[in-house]
Amino acid sequence: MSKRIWQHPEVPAGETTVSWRSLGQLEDTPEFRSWMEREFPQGVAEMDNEEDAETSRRSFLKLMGASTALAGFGMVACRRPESYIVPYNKAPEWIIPGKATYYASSRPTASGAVPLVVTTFEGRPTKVAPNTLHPDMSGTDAFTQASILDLYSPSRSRKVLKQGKPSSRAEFEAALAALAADKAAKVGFVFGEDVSPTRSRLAKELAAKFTDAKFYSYEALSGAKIFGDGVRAVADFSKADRVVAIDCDFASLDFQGSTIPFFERRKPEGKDYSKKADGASMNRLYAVESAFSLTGGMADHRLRVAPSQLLGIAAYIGSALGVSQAAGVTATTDEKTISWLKPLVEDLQAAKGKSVVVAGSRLPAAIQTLVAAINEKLGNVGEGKPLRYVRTENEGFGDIAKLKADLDGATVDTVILLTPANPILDAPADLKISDSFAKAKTVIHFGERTDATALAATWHVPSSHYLESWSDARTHNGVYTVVQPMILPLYSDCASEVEILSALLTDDGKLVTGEGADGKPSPAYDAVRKTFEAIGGKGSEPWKKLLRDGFHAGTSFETVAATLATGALTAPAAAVEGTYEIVFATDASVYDGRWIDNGWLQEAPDPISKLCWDNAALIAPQTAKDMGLYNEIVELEKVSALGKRTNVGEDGEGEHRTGPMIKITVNGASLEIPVMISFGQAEKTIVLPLGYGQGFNDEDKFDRGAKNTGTVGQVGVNSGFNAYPLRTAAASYFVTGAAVEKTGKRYPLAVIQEHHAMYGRALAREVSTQTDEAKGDFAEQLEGVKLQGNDGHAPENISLYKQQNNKGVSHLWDELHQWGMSIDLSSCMGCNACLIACQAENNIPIVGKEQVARGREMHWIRMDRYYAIDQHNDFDPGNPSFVPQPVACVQCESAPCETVCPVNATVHSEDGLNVMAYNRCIGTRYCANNCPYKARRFNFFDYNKRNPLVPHNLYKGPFGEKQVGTAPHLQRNPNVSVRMRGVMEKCTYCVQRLKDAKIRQKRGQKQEALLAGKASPDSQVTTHTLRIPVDSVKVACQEACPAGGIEFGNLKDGDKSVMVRAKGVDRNYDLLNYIGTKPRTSYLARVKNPNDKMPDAAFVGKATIHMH
Amino acid sequence: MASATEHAPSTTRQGPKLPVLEREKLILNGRSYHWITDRICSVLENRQPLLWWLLFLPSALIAAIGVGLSLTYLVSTGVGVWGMSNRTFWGWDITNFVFWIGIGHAGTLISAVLFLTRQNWRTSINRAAEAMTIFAVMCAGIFPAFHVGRVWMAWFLAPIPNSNAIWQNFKSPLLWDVFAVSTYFTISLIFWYLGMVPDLATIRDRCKPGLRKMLYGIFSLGWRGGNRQWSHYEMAYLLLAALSTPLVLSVHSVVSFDFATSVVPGWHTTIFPPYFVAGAIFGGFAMVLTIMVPARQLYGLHDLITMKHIDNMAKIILLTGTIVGYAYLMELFVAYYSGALYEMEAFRIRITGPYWWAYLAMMSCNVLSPQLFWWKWCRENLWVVMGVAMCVNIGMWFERFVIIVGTLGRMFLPGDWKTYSPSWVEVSLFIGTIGMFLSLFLLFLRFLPCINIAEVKWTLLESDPHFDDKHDHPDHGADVVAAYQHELHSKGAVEAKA
Repeated sequence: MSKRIWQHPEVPAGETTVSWRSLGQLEDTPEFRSWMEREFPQGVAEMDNEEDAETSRRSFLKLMGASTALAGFGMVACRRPESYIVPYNKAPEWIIPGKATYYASSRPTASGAVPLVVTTFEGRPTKVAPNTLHPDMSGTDAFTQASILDLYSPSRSRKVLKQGKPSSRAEFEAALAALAADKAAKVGFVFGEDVSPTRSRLAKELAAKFTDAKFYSYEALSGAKIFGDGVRAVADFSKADRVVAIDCDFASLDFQGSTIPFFERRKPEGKDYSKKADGASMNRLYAVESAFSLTGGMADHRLRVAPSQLLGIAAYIGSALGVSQAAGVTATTDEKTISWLKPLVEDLQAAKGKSVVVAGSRLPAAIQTLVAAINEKLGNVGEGKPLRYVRTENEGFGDIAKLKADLDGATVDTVILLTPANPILDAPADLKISDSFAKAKTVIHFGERTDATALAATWHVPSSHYLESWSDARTHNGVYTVVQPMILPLYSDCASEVEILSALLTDDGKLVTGEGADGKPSPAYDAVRKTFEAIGGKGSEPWKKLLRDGFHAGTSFETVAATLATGALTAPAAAVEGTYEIVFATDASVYDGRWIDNGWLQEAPDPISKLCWDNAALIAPQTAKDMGLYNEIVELEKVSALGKRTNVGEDGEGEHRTGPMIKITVNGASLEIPVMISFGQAEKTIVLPLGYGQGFNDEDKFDRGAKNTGTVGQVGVNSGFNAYPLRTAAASYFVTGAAVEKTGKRYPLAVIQEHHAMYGRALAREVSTQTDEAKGDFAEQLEGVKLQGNDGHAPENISLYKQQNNKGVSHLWDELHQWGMSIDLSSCMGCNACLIACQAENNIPIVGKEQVARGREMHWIRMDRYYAIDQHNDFDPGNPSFVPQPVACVQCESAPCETVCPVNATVHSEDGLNVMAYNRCIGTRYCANNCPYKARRFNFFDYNKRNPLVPHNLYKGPFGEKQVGTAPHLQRNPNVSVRMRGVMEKCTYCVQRLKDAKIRQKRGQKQEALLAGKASPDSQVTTHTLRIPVDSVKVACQEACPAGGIEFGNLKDGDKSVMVRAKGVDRNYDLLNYIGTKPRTSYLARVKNPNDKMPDAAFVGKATIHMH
Repeated sequence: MASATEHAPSTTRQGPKLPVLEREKLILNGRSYHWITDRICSVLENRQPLLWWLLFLPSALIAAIGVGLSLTYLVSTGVGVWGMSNRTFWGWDITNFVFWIGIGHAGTLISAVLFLTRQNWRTSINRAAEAMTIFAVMCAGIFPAFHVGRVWMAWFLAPIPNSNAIWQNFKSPLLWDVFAVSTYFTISLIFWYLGMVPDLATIRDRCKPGLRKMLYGIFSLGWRGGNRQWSHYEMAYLLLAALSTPLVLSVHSVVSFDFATSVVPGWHTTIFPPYFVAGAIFGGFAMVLTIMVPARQLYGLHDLITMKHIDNMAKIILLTGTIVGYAYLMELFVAYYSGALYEMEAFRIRITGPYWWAYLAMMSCNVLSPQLFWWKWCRENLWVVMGVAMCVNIGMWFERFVIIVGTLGRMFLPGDWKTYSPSWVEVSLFIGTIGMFLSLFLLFLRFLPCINIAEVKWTLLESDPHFDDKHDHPDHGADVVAAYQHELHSKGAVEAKA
């Protein structure tokens, strides 16, 4: 076999991350060479660094994929690992077993690609992190973090299906070749909403080849395109002093532009805490919304209204600002709403050109048009302004209604579905798209899951994961970003979008996937490289740079002007008296349903309702009272005399919380779904998260749909209720006139957090920039942060232990590194990205719905969220403020857990970590009882060994089904132990990363000394040389945070470290300070920046109490 | 029953003799040494009554299923088969541990403390109480041993030198527990066995040759009843009593440290050690009554375990119950007086929170029900005595439940609050330990002398070597005995006539 060479750039000079290879070059002496020949014959080939063979690294990765699968990757468990370690017989380039290699890539999404750096171990991608070099870096959301699990998902589609039955790839290839040969084919291509230059280029070539070809784009939750073909709006929140969100969750689920600049401006001290706190430097966010969103939770002023009122509100703002489009629309006449809107309009006028109004992308076109006109009027639009319109390459694509019309009219008879959407499930119900598909001759579906559309299609071809395929994408601002594979497709039937399109472009239509013949690169590689040559220039240098950096600097979408509709706006449905309005919400766990088989996302609690594994109809407390359900729901909190819940779950297995089920009828369809109370959402409004209820099996006792259809895997089966049938094309976001009736049934719900108030405890603290009579002005309030709650009355904590020896040197104190963390509640919105990043980094298992209901979830970060309402709030007492608070182990210096462990399994490290020796732990659980933060997690079962998703499997003990050796194990981080049952675990500040950084630092010093030609005894080792560079190591949660809310660093770095500066600001406080645990993680109080002219200004920023 | 008789004051060489109440007899009906030996030995020499079998067979079955099966399931499957969660990490396991350990307390108190203070009434009940201690500690030990996640690694708790050179954490109250409980068990077992040696010899001497005689022979360690043997025996017994007395205080103090040394509001209080010790004695005496009163009826031991004994135990229950009640109230006061929000909330939630019913059960069973013992007729009515004893058993269980479960589910951060309910595995393990306790006790009744034959005889007046020496013995022991026997004789004659 010829030598393998990476399609990757060289290691830059001075880079210390690659060790022996550089050392080898350094010591390239004859002696070394002969030794090397003797010891590593393959390594010698390595050293003849000539481009003698042009092969892709992907063929190597194929080799890797196979050997990793065989090796089972010796999970570092507490018991002796059973593994078969096969040494390389050809040493692959750059691979050191157990050491991570990092590559730039990106995840394409409808709102723009997410630039990533992917961690791989021996060719296995295990973790994604945002690419901080990228100009459009915006952290990662929970979906991106969880996307890596899909690569290894057991429910991933692996085989080609024909009419829903297993078929062979050869058979499909024949069908594809026939299609490629037929230049008159009436073929329709349905893409996703993401932008890919290569795909667009291929689409143009396809249009040239197939004269009758049609192109569409479709995703379930994309809204009206009001700016014209291919034009979209991108917000730059760094330039916006005032932000108004009209039912737009731009911070989390409805991306409008990078969130990081927005959150940076939530910190009064500036993004790196280098300035003095200044309320005026903050932006101000107004939110008008129906459901509670994370954006609404961040808002300085929040108004809750039923969705039918949104147009009137937009019209009021529009007409107050003199927008012409508002003329024909009835503005709201509600006095209270107007009193809230008036000062808002004044504020907007005062911030002309420095404000932005964003409307939810799924809102009716009328509202979006009005909002766009408001922005135009305010002068917020244009290059260098908070909002700009850009032209994407997704031009000339029809929508799903067009597809239907073309199918019905036989203009198209072959459909190739390349969209990540699942139209059979998620297309508007009144389109009856399945009927139209039935009319087509051939429907070819590409997807990662055998979902409803896959089974209904003529052909289903498993698609490669984005970490398995070559492609490219544009970020929201249009920066050209590469999607490069980390591994060859795990399953040989998988094909990628670009590969399919490339195959159709060839004359013989041969489908080449993964790797070409004789180790040649995939056709997708050539296609992407060709696209890039037009953008970045020919030659290998720009290409290598692209692969190394992940993007091509200086590329952007073109800024264009948009012409807004000027005619009369079609008003959406108005409210109907005596009925309810329904919001079809984007779900934080399954999005539009595509993540239904992702266990991490399913188990991540909904940020608002804290519900896992299901969806439920969310209603406000008053609405629950109106429906006569309030007592029935609240009663569940009670515990009967035997300690049992009054309402035991349907499976009778324990402390499930159950919700009463209601039947909602609207648009001629009805749905039975359990209800949950959700505070702060609009009255008379039911929020129905979409995407659930995709498949059921015999365990389903609620008759939610056809059973055993095979449309979902083990994770998503029996999960939730399908709200799509209620949704029509005209009412795709909300609908009015829904009728509700009680059913008398109850459904078990796994809710992670059951108590919603802080009960007068100053846990998550909040202050306001506005002067308050009792609390003083902003500066005084900041000073008071540390005194909130009981803390002002707690005596100083004096330790009886001597902290220093006679010379004043601290005991067990590492002079190099002392780790610490700060969490800024002012920018934390509570979105779960950190929680899932932690899960990916630290091999945290999922435990399944039943275990979550018992309170046994394993997340090392618990995302607490509290509601608080000012008791004097007479403006809207049903609209509480929302404060999230991520709680993980805070690494107490004086840790209660450590003193109580009888076997010394949890002890303190010299660099200030509270470390956990899994092998020593016997599981008395005393540490966890004594942890005031309840940050420890116990392995009640062998979650890693026994599949928690098989019903009752965990309870079968040795007779339960094992899951050792299945694909998800390939995702594991080999540097983190996989814990067995019976041991305690918790956040370790990613100790594996810290150790790695320290080792690299030491090795770098050694290398420097060698380069300087010094013998090792002569090289000086000082504190300076051994301390890792300031803020150079990042922990998983910090890295992922799309809000820049977490800072981590070395306390010994002093003010050079952002974390230390953050800890130095006034609003820094220790959670539960009075116990004297001296936590290393501290919190920064949330700052609200209300407008003092607003009627509710006095009630903002008061989520916590002062006890003076 | 003999009633107290007032004696006229007289003058002796020690000075004026003050009027005294005659002590109640500890053994009624003037029973002779021979009768005592016969009666106690008959319990294990005769065939067991039907009731014994009716109690023993189900108990043994429950023990086998409850303990054997549920532990097998627990160890093979994981602690998850119990009802705990990542909020409430302890539930019935530690509740039951503390409950059983508490019961084990009265044994040592009766055998050691009452021995040192020359409380002769202990002799009728000490053997059974000690047996109860042994069995209760055995039951207790199951819970901490098996509640751990990896029971096969539990040997990490023992200070055995190992290759990793890791020692135990001597700061941990759990480790203190290991030492305290194992010491307590060892000392109690030795004390119990040593005290039984003369009696085992008695049984041996009454046996026909055979396996039985051989076994009793082995365990009686060659006891011949010689003076030298008695002299050594009494010294050893006295020393052991002195050695185990501090254990009465230490064991439950250490158990209370499991809670008191933590930072958990509701646990972190200095009142715990005395309060736990008082509670343990309280619960222990209730359990002695619970098992001795039926045994007394079953084997006709009325003359040996008299109403005087029961009365004494009831009074101790009244005293310790009142101490416990005081502790409960003091806890509330301290929480209020501390001004610490979390402390106040912890107690408010105990009373009004999801486990209010457990708090109510604890209060009414432990504080109110013993107050009945202020009335003499309550102490004399066995139904009332048994009722109160049962109440105390239940109340003491709830006390531990309230402390453990009621506290853990509602700690500092409301975000992690969650209630706990046990699974069937925990419930069956607890019932199993009750079965185990009962069956062990029934076996004890079947094979070992349930009353201390040797010592109970010392309480007879005739055991006093000087009892017929009128000069030395101001009470004229021989006269008193003669008068008493005459009285009994004439009463018997009257009864016979009637």
